[in-house]
Amino acid sequence: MTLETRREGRRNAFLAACLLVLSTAGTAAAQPCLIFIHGKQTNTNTLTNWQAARDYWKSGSRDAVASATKNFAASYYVIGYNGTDTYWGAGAAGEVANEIVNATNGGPDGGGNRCALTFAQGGTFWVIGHSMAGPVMDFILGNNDASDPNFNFNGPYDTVAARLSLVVTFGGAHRGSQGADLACGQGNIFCSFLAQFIQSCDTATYWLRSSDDVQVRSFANAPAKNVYLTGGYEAIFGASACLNGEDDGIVQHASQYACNGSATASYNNSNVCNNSNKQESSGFRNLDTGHENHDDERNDADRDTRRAIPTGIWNCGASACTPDTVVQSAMSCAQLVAALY
Amino acid sequence: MSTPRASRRVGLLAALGVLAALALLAVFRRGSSAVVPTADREPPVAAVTAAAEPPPPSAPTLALGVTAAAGRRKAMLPEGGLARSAAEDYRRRARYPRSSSPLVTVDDDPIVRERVVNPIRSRGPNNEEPTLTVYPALVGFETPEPAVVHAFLASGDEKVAARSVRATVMTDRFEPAGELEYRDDGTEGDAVADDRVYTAVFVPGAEASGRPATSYMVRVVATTRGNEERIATTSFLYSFPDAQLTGAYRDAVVDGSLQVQAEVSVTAPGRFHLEATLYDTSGEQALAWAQTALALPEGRHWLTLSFYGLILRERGIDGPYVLQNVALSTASTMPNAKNRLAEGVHVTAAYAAARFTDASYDDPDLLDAADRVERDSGNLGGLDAGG
Repeated sequence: MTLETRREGRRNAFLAACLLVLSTAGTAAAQPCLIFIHGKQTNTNTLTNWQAARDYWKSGSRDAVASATKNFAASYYVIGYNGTDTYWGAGAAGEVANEIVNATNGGPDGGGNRCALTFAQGGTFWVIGHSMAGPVMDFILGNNDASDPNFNFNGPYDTVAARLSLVVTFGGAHRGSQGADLACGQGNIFCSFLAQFIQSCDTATYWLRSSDDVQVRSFANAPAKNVYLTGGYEAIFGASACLNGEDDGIVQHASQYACNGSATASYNNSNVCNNSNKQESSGFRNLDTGHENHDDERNDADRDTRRAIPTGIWNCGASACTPDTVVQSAMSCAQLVAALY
Repeated sequence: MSTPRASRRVGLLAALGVLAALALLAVFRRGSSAVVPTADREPPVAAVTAAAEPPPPSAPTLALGVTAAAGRRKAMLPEGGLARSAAEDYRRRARYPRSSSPLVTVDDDPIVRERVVNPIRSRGPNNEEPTLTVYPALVGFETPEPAVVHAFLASGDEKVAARSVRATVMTDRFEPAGELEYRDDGTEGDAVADDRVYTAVFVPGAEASGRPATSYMVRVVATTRGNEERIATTSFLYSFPDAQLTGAYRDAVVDGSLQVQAEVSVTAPGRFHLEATLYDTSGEQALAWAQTALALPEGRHWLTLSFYGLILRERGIDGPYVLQNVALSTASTMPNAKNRLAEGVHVTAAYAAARFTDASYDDPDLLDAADRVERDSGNLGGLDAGG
């Protein structure tokens, strides 16, 4: 072997090493595409006007999409659906399911945003849902198999379930909302008056009440992919006085954290249901709770204290943080998502 | 002497070296993962190694008895974030098919859980008592039985008499469906006179025609002895299912799993869902849940529930087993029409647990999902080690 040949060999080895490092760096950059699904609406704006769906996640200069995607380092897709429909309706679950499949196929959202990789290319997809998006996704992921009661009821639920990695909900109305109860005439005049600011008693609201017969768990099984639960405990003046236990002004903890038992049970940050006491026997997992109200959760407006909850995600040293421990002093739900991948 | 070819090589190597250095820097930066870029210029939020501030001295953690030292521990997100825990969960769940899953305790029985009635309560304008509690006797009713709804006023734990309890009923399409007057005289559905639990019965009318099931909302107004009003709203499902269980069942071990077949009589074509839970003969140990769904024409048919064998094998409890709760529904539309629950309807043959399969189902979707989601596990694993 000549000196020149050995030099050539070393150069080739170096080149190969450089290429390996570059390719490894590319792999290390793998991150999920975030698919955003808004909550209940009082009109169909977010379905007919994509910008309305996009603006749902903003407040002034704050943007939950930007924060959750690490300033758009991760790709994203924003879904708009008919937020006045029932959670199981074609305008809600059906539209959402079809849009998720479009996202995973590399199709654009209404603003031209696409996921960086398709499912076929090995992409991974996380749904980030607020409020009513909770039961919408519960219905889709709980009816993804031919043996489920409402299999592919109005959309390709099986494809959605196969392609999503997980769901994170902010203040998800998994067990309905006492705010919806109030809007539909429940309770005293003071509470109902406040509820009118929140939402009218339309079709969507009817099916978001806390009564047992309208609960998504009555019409769906355990979600095919995990639903991770975070939310808020900052009261809305007046409204929160009408809700049981801790709440974000619209949705009580029992619902935000998909608890088994009564949808109106009174929980606080210390005793909210753990992962073994969810509305289904599997598929729901606690993250934490933030000092945010229902609006703050979706628009990154309030970067505030976060606290641990039972079987939540935060560790203090080698073990899980004691429930109600302050785990962050200034972090929003969207920023929490960014910290999770 | 440097030839032009050699110069090109040096240049190429230098460029690659710079790229490699940048790539390594990028990997190391990911490894530290200390900064989450944000849209604006807020102070960065700590990511995986979150820079949590210690709780203030008066934090609730201290009130809960946690030592101050423990309270000062830095809070961190787990290694791998959500992705790793999700992957582990999916691999565990992949051991069973979607149509059958293990039950650990009786409290896990999903059929029972979904049928527990949870009352709705409401107090006065300034949160004062008495509290009005309203609830249906069942989450759902099936034709031809009447729907039964209850209400009571209570101060503390003590029920108090009402001057009147009335309600308006409307459908989930907001169609008016009737007015109710609750009674506490032991008649017309009221079980016990003067127990201060008021009762009304409701029979659907024309508004329910043509629909397999309707949700009815009942807005109850109770007037106290002091002429104060309390208002609370509840609801229930009323069903006209298109199939009935005939009461005929049979069982066998097929491909290492326990198959239980239930005969149904279908009165109109549609899609039908059947689910059931399997218990030991004592009724104290819930073992497994299974479901199936099929589109069926009119007539008599067998629906097959397959309790996945590995579940029974792992529990190690020999048969016979009891088909404890059986729920049939007409799932052609939403809301589904739900039949009355059938309980303790069938006892299987005495199969030994060892007769069932010990093979994992290995759900391909869940295993694929586990592999994929692990790629999102951030700065952990071999990539960092390599970096």
